[in-house]
Amino acid sequence: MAHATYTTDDFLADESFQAFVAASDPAAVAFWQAWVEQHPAQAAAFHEAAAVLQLLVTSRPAPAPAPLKQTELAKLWHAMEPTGAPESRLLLRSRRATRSRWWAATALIAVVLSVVAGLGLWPRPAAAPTWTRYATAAGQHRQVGLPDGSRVVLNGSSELRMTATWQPGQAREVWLTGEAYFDVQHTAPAELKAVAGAPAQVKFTVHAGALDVAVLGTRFDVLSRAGTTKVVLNSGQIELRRTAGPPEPLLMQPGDMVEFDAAAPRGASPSAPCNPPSIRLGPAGTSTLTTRRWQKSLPCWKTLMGCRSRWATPPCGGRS
Amino acid sequence: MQTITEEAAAQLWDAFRGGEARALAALFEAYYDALYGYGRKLTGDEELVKDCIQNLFQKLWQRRAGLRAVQVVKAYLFKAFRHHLADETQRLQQQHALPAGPDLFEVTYSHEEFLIAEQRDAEQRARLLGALNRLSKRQREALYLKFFDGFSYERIAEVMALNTQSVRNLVFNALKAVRQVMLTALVLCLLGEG
Repeated sequence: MAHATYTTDDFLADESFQAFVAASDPAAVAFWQAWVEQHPAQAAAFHEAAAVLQLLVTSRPAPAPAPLKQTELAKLWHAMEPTGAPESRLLLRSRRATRSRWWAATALIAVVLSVVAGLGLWPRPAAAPTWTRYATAAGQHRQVGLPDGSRVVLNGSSELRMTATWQPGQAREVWLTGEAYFDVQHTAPAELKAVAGAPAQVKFTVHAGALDVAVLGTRFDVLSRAGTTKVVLNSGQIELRRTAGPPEPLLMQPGDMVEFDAAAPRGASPSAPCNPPSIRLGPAGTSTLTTRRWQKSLPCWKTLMGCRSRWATPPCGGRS
Repeated sequence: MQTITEEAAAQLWDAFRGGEARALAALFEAYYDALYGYGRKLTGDEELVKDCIQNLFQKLWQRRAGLRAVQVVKAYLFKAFRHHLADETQRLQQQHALPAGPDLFEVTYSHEEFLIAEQRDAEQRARLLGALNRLSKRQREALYLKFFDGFSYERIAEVMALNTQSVRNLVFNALKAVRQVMLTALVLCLLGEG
């Protein structure tokens, strides 16, 4: 073998030998340990080369300061945030001239980040956050643009959660507590209009209380508070499922309203899919899932975006 | 410090290309120290190093859809980072009319890096530092990538945009110089005993 004629320099240049000295490759370590025993003639050159390399492999650069790393990681998370504030994106600046401004901006970003992190509104960088959360206080409204182009208006005391990133071709999912109006972007091919049977990756699902509200692209309202979940469909189609119920969905048509009360006495669960214009699901008297026509309210829903002050009350007056 | 295998890094890379922010953040965490250390070797400007790493990862995120699979993620990151740092350094030099040398980067070794080798006497350490700092810039950089970051000749070639044989020669000549220091130390030791 060529190793038998190795000089000190040959050992030095050999990558496998370097890996042996650095102990970075168990196979190399085993090989060279055995090799030197079998080649005592080469032992002097072998050990000299090992001693030279030993000088270098014991050297390690100091790690980056931990606070710096954390700040920089938070900045990266912020930049990756789909609806993140674009003004906080970092650009390489022309240094020296802008050094003081830069420092001020950095300090400001750090302060904002730590405040936001303290409030729990920010995904913790160390815990590899995957959630984006939008919340409103009582009486507050908030319009949120989702990564797929859909729009959500959050009513007061509500919270919307979703994974931090959405990729095209992936099922869109959000989790809601409180009340929100959804205007969902249709991402399926134009000819695909029925949500029932549509592939998961073109669906948009709102998980609200005990209901999963799946659509392709429509406008609807979901209210989920204290065990009660109410869904009102404005246009298009909704496929409704109970989270812990039978797999058969309920199909909602425009003007339908569905109310589900998890606290209501548990009768027989909804059994058959309810096709419009069927109104009710489940045996009479024990229904836990009911559908009502809500045609009268449609004009109100159409102007929803413009009548936010009335938004806090149950939508459009009394029940039928 | 670096506890991530090449396979794990490649998986994270693919997940990140698929749109997983958390995968890119994991790569950032895994390689930040190494990139920072390398950057601090290449330039004395700490701010510039920090900004270039941040910028590199943000750009990766923005361009994730167009990125391809890579063999060794760490080498890819080092290469992209080096390129980025060189561009910025050049831009700043032009902006401030500083003389631009043929070799942009000045890798120097400092005492702190050799503190771990405490068993070696101060005199020998000083000689070793002297020898390392007398090497050419490229030799120093190649040696750094070899022994501080554990890159193979092939990966160093990728990072430094050289061919593998050139890298082999750079490292080999550098090691011969280090060996000379050892020999001198040995001779001095023998003379001292005699």
